[in-house]
Amino acid sequence: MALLDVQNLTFSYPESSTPALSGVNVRVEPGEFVVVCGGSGSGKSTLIRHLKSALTPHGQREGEVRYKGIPLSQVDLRTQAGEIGFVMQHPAQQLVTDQVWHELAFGLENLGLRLPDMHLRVAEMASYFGLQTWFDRAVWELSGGEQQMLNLASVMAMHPEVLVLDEPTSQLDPMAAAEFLHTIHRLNQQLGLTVILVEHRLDEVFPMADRVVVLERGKVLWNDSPRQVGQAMANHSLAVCCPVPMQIFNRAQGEGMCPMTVKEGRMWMEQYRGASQPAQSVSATPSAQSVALEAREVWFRYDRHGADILQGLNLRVPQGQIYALVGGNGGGKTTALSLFSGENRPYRGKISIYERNHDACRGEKPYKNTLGVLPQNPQTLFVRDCVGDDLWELLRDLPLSPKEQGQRLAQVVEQTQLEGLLDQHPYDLSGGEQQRAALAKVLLLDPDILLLDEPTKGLDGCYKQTLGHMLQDLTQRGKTILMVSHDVEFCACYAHTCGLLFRGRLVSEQPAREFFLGNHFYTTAANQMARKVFPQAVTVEDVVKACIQSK
Amino acid sequence: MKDEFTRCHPGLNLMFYLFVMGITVFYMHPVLLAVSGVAASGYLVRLRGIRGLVRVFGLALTVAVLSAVINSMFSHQGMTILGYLPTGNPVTLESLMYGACTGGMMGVVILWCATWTKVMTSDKLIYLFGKGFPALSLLLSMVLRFLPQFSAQTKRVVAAQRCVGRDVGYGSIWQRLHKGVRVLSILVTWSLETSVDTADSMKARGYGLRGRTQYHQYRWDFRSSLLLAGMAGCGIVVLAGIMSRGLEMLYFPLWHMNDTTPFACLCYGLYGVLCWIPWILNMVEDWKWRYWMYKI
Repeated sequence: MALLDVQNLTFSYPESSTPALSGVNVRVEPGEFVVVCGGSGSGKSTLIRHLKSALTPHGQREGEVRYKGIPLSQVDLRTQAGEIGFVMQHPAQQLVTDQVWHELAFGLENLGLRLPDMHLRVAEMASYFGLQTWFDRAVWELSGGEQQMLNLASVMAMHPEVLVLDEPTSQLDPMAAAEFLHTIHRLNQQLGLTVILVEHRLDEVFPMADRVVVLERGKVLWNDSPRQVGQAMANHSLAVCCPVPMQIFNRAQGEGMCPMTVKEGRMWMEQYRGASQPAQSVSATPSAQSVALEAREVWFRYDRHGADILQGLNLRVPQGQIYALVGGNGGGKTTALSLFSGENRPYRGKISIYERNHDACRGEKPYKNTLGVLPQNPQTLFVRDCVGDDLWELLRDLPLSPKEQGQRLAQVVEQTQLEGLLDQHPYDLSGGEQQRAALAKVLLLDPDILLLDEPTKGLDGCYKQTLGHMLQDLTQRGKTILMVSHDVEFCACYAHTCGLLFRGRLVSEQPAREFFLGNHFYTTAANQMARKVFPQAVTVEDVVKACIQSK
Repeated sequence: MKDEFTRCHPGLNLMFYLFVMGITVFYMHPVLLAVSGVAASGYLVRLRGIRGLVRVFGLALTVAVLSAVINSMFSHQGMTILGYLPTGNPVTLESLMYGACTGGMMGVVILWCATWTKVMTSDKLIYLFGKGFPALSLLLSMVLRFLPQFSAQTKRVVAAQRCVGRDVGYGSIWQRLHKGVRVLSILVTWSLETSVDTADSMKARGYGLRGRTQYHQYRWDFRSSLLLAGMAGCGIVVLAGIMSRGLEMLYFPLWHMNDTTPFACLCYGLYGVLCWIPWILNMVEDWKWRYWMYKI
């Protein structure tokens, strides 16, 4: 008997003419790991919210959902609360109480467990998830990744039969996201927990999944094993979200079994061994006329007695380039960015913008025209109830004639592809759309230099592509972009120069291609997969081209 | 520094404060006040160091002195006349003493309150409240959760606004106000948005089901019972002293205090023990620890 059975479910929101879901059939067997994916607005969140009565949206519904053969509406709320665990998107907003231990116990208190049982379960979960060290801490002191792990642990304490997760990693940085997804995988493997996961980091979850359900406009497009779905998706817009080996296989029209991991990809690549090395087009790095941003011997720490975050950082960002600063957590990337933006000041060394001292720029409203900063959380930029108003609000104060204002708005809206979104509330936009709206707001000021902090956080593959092209387009107009990122693939595709920051110093700095070719671990999946056969290939594009040529 | 008394059961902490503060507030006896004040200062030094004491003591002393001065200037009851004000009204010893004792009482309460904030942490209050008012205790916890989240978001929004040239601390007062209101209005939207998620999360985890229980990590052990009995013993003797007029303090019309009888001394002593309990606990613990280390 299926654990959860969605039968012919059709659902439309009130005041909406098109149904959000139409005729959806999905069966989930006990112990399965099911990934649900689809573009934004495809109905994936609507679907999984139907798996728990407490969260089911209001609207017109046909068909039904059965839990262990019983219609969900007849399963009492107590059973549902305990047996169907639900983790949502925003880590901080799901936390109810102020202390970690209280959060762990919150669900158990609601179920009315006796104290000794609660002690046992809380202890068990804290040990399993390794929360002992922060058991007594306040929840707001935790990082986003830790908060989401706590959410998971407190749901798991209720001993659910099935775990439903709605884009749980979209607000996390890639490291924390990978750790979270591996924990889910471990729960599935070790405890046989049934998992239903909505996710757009398909490259991470494809190898874990037993089955992938792809939704489009409220209909099930595919519902099959990841390999089958991956191959079927080859010509779909979601293909760029698939694992890199899969993308290469599909685009090179490979034969045999479709590889999902780098390991399988390497084995598959063996057939090309000995093939001629295609000449790689030399990437056209814009020749730099001048230095846009420069840090010379910069030292910085937050606390007088704290450790130095930056230790003699020397960094030059040439004008008209996309410069990507990469490196692990705690390497000082974000701190370096905050020094350039003027939020913090170095206690030794010099920061200059266009060879003028940063302090000299300070007096004259440095943030206008020269520097544009896109914060890590784009939501914090919005102050009005609709995107259009929000943009106008900023534009109105600029020293431009009304005609120029109109022109600039039109130009920026076109650049960031915001047409159609201007009437919406900024908080209702998807992550990618919010990012674009925020970028538009920064671009209205027409800055020469853009500082981006983790711009691909929470974006799916398609949006990343759009963003990448947008940034390239900007550099062609002479803008300079300095970004901090964990996203190796993105940097390899779009950055001109990459620098690796480690312990507050620049360890290596090279044009993007050479940078990733020279690295062994800190490099793209495409390079890792093909390095034995095509040592010069860095991006998916390169490998695909090489494969096709050698055929 | 680890504080032994803070680690005791919250019920015990509460009982202690009820006894000590109760006697301090409801029976203004100069000797008892002095004992209580010295004990509070001693414990405050233990908790916050000399600096912490100086800061709080400054406030307490100001209150006491002000109260004595103001009372003697405006209240003219009492028989022992010390002199006359320029207005012709008498300054009496009784009203001076009454003012000083009232002020002293307030000062001592301030001192004890300074220790209370360290001892009665939010989770203890939530636990104690939760017994009688479960919904209230959860609300308290949620408020404590929400406030830091709200202020963090405020900081983030203000910083982000600065990035687009909307520095809230910049420009004329009118402009600043304008920008400030903008930020505030979006923060309200944000908190509504957030609370929808939080409510979903609560529902999903079964909030609202019947028979909610309360989780806590406190244990009432034999030591707690022993301490409670000790505290109750001391308290009852002092109360008996008060009831039987063994301890007595009259301010008006002529001030009168009980004689230093052996029974009164016993009461003073026991009240001292009561007030010093947190400090004594710490000392005993320190001493034990050193003893065991020495043995090893």
